[in-house]
Amino acid sequence: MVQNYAAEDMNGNVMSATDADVSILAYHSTRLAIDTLLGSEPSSFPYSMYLIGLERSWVFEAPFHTIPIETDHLPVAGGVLIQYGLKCWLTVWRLFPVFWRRDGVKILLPDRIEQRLTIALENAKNQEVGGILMGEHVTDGIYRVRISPFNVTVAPGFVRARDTRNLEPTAPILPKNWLQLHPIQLPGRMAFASFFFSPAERA
Amino acid sequence: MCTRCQASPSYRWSGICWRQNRFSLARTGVVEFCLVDENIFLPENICRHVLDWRNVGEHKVDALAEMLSFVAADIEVEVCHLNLTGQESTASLSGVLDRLGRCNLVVDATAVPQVFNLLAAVATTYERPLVWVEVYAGGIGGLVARSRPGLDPDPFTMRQHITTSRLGLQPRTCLWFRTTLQRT
Repeated sequence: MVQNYAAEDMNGNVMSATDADVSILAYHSTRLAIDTLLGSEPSSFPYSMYLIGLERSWVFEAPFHTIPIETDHLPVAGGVLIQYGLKCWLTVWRLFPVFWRRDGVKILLPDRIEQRLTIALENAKNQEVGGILMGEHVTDGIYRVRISPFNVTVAPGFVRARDTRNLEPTAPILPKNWLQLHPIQLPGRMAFASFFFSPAERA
Repeated sequence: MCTRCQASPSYRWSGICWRQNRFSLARTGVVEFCLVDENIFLPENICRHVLDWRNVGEHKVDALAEMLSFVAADIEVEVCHLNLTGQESTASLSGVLDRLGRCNLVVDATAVPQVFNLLAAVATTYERPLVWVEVYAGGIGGLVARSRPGLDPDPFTMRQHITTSRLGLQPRTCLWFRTTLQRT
């Protein structure tokens, strides 16, 4: 019977991991754990995933064949706190007064994103011209910005020169009349942008 | 050279982990452990374990806690006999997960996808690094990986990446090689 640590190859031979096999992986994980705990920069491990071969099988060409797995192209878990509770979803009406229109649009935003946006807006001063906020349509007039799989990024282009948008030199931050709400009613999946703001077309 | 002094002395190590690496960490300088495992040490576990016949019938975490106390006098071990994916009290499970979230490092050495999901959620929620290990069935090799908040992708993305994209493997193919560890 093939069970724990055992497998059967194509010829019906049963292979089983020995204590030495398991120990090798255990010690490798120990080194990785210690490096993670110490938080050394640069890390001793340039990759964060490794396939470690102990036999000539599968993708392993020989024992001791180690295959590092590249993960740099994947989105980084951006140091944001995901908690599903009432206290962490804040309305940001104080951040974006324009969000509160007559038809009542409410944005639920995690703390960390709010802090990042606050810093970005403070740095932008009166040169902030808006951006695109993607969120999930929760119910009528309520949208939620979630962390995963998206990550809020304040791009370098978030702050643009005023003359590119023909804004007045003394334009305040996010003037209410200059932004136009474009709700897209796509309830359900967060993969869709449910709304976005853009500078309103001024007559 | 005293590696104990150079290593961080107050790091907490948590998760479900095996055997040798606990002792390696203890010898490196880790002095606080939180071990979660509900299994009883049985005679058939001896072939791949640091425990021996003297510990047959004991909870594995209790026996390991006793052995860890022999490494250094100031080692503190918290043990929990909870089955993270079993029919346990939700209040107890919540308490254990919260406890794990307050550790400096979470380690998953079960190779059980359900446990990985739980611990990955803990690591993501509490922003803790997660290290996980899998031994492929037959002893052909294994996987060692980590996810550090702010530096690496989240554990779910990394697991999906390893099972689907990098080596052109379908999940079912990879599952064939995955051992069904029962935390021996």
